[in-house]
Amino acid sequence: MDSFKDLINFITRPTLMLTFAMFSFPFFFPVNDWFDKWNKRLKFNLLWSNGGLVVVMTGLVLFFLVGLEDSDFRLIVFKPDNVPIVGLIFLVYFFLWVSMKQAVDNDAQLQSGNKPNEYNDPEDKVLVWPDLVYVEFICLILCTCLLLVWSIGLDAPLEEPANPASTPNPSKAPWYFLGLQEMLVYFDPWLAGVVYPTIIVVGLMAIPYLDRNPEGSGFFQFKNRRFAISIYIFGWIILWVMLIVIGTFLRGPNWNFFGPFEYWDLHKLEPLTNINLSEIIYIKYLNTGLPQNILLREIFGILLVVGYLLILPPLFAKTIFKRIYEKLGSFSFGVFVFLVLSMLSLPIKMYLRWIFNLKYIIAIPEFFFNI
Amino acid sequence: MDKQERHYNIFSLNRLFAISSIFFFVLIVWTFIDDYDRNWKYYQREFRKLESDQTQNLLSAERERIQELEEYQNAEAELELAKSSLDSRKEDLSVLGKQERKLQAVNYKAEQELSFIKSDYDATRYRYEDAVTRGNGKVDNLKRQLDELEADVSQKNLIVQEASASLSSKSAEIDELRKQADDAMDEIGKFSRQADLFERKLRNIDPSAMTISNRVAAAVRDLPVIDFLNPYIKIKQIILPELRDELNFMRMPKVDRCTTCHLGIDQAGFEDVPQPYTTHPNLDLFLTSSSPHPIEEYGCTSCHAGRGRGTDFTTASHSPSSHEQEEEWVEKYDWHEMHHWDTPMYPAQYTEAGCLKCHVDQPFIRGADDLNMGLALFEKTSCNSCHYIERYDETYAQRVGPNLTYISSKTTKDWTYRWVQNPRSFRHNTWMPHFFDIKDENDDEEKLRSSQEVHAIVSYLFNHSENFSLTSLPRMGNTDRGEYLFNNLGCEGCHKIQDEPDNNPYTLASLRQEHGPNLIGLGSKTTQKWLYSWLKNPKDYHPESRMPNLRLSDVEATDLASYLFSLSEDEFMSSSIPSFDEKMQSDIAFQFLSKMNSDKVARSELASMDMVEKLEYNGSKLIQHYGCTGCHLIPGFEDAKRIGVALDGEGSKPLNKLDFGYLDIPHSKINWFTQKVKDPKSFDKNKVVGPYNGLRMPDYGLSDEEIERIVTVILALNKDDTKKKPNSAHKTFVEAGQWVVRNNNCQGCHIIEERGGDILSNFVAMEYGPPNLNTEGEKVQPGWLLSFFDNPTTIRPNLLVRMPSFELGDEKWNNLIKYFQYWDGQTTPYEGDYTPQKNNVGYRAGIKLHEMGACNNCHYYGTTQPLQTPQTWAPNMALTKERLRPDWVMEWLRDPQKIMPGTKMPKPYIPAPEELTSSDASEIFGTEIMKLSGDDEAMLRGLTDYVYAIPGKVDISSEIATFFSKNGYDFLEDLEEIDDWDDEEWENEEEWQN
Repeated sequence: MDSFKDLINFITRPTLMLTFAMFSFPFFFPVNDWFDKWNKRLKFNLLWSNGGLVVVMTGLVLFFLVGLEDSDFRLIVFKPDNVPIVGLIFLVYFFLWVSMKQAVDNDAQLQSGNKPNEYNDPEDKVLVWPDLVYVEFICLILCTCLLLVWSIGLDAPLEEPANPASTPNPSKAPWYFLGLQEMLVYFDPWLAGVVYPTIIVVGLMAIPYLDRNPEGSGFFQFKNRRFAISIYIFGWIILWVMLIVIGTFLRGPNWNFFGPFEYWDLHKLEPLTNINLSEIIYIKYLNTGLPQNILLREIFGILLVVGYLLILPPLFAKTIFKRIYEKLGSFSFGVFVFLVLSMLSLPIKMYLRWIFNLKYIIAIPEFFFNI
Repeated sequence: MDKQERHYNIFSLNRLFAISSIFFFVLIVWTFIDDYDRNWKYYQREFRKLESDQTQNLLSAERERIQELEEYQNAEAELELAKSSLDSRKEDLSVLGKQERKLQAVNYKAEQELSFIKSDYDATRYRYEDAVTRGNGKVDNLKRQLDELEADVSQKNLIVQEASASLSSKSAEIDELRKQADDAMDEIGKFSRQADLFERKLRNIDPSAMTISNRVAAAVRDLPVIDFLNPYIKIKQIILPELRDELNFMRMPKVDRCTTCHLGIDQAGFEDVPQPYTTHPNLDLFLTSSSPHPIEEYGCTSCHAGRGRGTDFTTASHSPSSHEQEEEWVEKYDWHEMHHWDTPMYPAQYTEAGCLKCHVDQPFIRGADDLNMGLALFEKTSCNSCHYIERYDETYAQRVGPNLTYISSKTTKDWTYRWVQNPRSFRHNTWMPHFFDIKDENDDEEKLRSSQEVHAIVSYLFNHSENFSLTSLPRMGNTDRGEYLFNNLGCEGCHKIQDEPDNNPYTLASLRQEHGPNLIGLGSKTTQKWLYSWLKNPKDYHPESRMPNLRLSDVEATDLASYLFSLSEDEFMSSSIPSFDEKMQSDIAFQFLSKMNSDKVARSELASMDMVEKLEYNGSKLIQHYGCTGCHLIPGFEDAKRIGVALDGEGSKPLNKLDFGYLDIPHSKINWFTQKVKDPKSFDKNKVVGPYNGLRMPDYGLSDEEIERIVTVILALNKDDTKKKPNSAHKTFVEAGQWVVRNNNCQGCHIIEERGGDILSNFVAMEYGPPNLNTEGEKVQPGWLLSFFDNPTTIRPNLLVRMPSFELGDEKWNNLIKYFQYWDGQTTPYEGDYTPQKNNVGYRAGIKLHEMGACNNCHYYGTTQPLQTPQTWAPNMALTKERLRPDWVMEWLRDPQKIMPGTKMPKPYIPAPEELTSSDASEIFGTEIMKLSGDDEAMLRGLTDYVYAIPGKVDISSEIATFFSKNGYDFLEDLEEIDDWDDEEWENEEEWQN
């Protein structure tokens, strides 16, 4: 049992877990035929079958049941704040399954030349009342019931009177912001707290204008839209939901990382000495001091960032995203690539931190400008 | 309708809708029940039953009681009688009643007419006045109208008066008829008042005693939703705007809802019912409106802490007082700790922590035994030497240990090494804590380090010791004689000589007897010469010492020194002393050097030091590090500051400011404080800290119970709101004096405020010990008392124990005198001399009374010795006029036992009036007493006057000293042999008086 817990504690470390999630992702959501082949060969597509649902759900339930035997796990899972996140794990998978199962089924239908399941006679109509409103009303009642049971069963997690002199440790944002809070570990607050949320919101709004592919609208399907769906699911599941789960269950006092079966020890310390790119280059490799001139000091970082944002897009347009570029035109393509690059900058920054202890690529604290 | 148009089956939707609606309804009901069902409601219902049972019992007991009273029975019989006679005159009564009603109608009508006319008159008067002033209207016309109306008014007035007169005469007739019955009712009412009150209460709470409509109303008012109007079952709360809860940003008024469940807390009669209904154990002191702490003014949580707004067992933040209780609570109430409430209720044994915040200026808090014990231990361990505490800022000495300025004149390096290393191995009950040899220091490295640290400290002390010139002994002392003096001079008021621990828990009395050190082993510690010099005048050697000067003669001092020197501690002195270890000394020096310098500088500095310099450097650093200067005066550290954290507000410290380290104990403030006192360095356990970066509080070796008391004090040092009464002159003077008493351990010898006098058990009779200071403020003249304090003279001639010279200075003596005076309500500081009138009957009667009382058997008259042997000797009568206040003397003569219980002074014989009527009375008592014809007051006044007129030398200290130096105090030993003669003797005396 202990070795099981140790194993879980080991593999849930963010480096391992995120690496595994990111690199296995295309095998679950294949973006091209090669991955698709492996997806089939590894039988990952069974995940979206009825059996897959049963296995995954049973596995999750078993994991929680077994885990509850551990007092530290119990403490974290039963915190009134965290109970909904347990629900979130189940719900996210369930709804992903619902859509992906239909998508896979429809793909099969289309492949065999049939119409998708959702196809209906254009003459066929349904009435708003009762077919829509009545059903909505019943849903409303049942959801209210759920909220009532919840509020009776779990008391509101009130804590001590607020004290400006002592912050709770760990102090956590509301669960829906925990993804942002996780980004704060890697980015300067103005990026993680201001720029990225804005890009996320604007990006979500931009989707209908960027994804103008009319194919397959009105029903779930994957094959014809695999690139669009995969990018979205990657951002949503890996870079948002997973960060929320990590932030809820795996971040303890001092925002240190704790495995699900680990005691939240206030005294735990992790090596946290990080350095900037300029220091790596000037001090570590060139063995000189940092130049006085800010621009000179940060020139490598600036070049890197500018290169990332300005050189990569035309490069992509000529190479891997050639078809997309042709379809979207240069402006939409520019926006699209910018959004994708912004999204990817999070895992890139994570790895730079883990591998090089890199704090900032550009660090100009004089102007509160750090990237 | 065409079925095809619908996507879903409407019937199954309907069914689904019905089911979910029913489910929803059930949940709404559940929500109501969940909201309505509270434990406190159950408690209130339960208490309602209890209360009605109790009232029922009280009522029937009260009824039984009055039934048995003869007066009550008479009144009942009277009532019966009156009723029957009324019955016989029923007709008359009804006729009279009719007439009365008719007259009432007439009267009412007349009054009405009068008021109409009167208002007309008033209005007209205004119009007339208006016309006269401003010319609006015809003055003459109005004048005429006014006059007419005035006549009308007076006429109607007459009618009204007549009507009311005839009405009242009719009413009087009826009253007369019913008088007998009414009187009887009144009489009964007098007896049944209490029973009526019970009945009324019962009608409110007991449904079976209610009328049907009330019973329905009582049930309806507590129904859900309606119960917002005026329910019987409701949250009871006390709002305290002046006492507030700390909520970080602000302080919110306390709202104590404890009485919602603790319903019987402020009512007597529920002492034996189970919690939460139990009566408070001390209603005289708390909760009731006549007590000093009424519940409406102080609430509950201002003393007990906890969460006043909580109405549930857990949310009120109850705290269990033991692990067993915790388990019981978990089982019974599903209790858990309120982690997020900073001030959990004090567990029962710490309850008195709530007293100090208001009573912080008082040296002694009556009724708070545990807290007083804690404070006494706090002072003995001298926590304030290292930790600043406002309470002790001016009232209690910071440096309680001996002066180390002249240590080389007092003792040796070897003794000092062993002492610092392990004080309790020399003196088992010393208050000097253990800095070294603490439990955990098992590894050799640590042992070596501590031995070298002690070496460094000792060599610093001796290198810096100044020379103190000791007086040579004028003669060789007599050890036996010294022991006798130690036992009899009063040394034991503050000192014990106790070889082995008696393992009794400390009490306030035993702590007073340890005011000074246990004097064992002095022969191993110091020299006779030093002892002699010290005894002659302690303040020479140590100006801050609290040891007073006993004005010992050379002979006495040598005897005592020789006795104390004979007590040695050979085993202690035979323990081995490790040698110096240069490597470790270098390491210690380097640790300190590198705290302030870079390593390089530290190394070069270290290299430039030789062994002696290292010892010197280490010694001075270690003395600072361990804070030796908190308790001792050490050369070079005269202005050293306290090294510990200030303790004011410590009780309010948030839990997250207390570092538990890796110690696996439940995280609560009480646990932290307890652990800190019990094992001060344990929070550093398993931590990697340098030798001089960790915790440094020493170990006091206290028992669990003592630690509990000290923790009570720490909890009491909090930042809670207080509700102190404004300082009255009484309070200020009394407290200032009480501090003097406490700091100088007056109660070690004297009984003050009915406490203390611990030394008295050493004497064969209280008579031969230090006097009880009851009524001292009323008793003595303040001027005399001051001069006595400055220069104590002999008052009780046969006392061997003596009042020492404390040399406290005028301010403190005045504090003490004012305290005595205010305590006794004697607030006139300056009084004229009392000159008795000699040419009156009273004075002459006094002469006779004094002869009959044979005062001169025991009392000195100036230098004239009493007639009896020294056993019964008593104060000099000639001193009275300077020392005592005449009013007090009168009271004293009236009943000495009342003022000083156990005194051997008999009541002077004052003849009763009957005795003066016998035939030979004037022969026995003389004419003067006869003239006073049994007037006690006049006779006592006369006797007092006589005493005030007694001439003679006032201060006879030297005469008495001469007498006893010649004859000795052998009578005291005789007394011990026949231990109980005194009781018989004085019983006879009393018989004789009667």
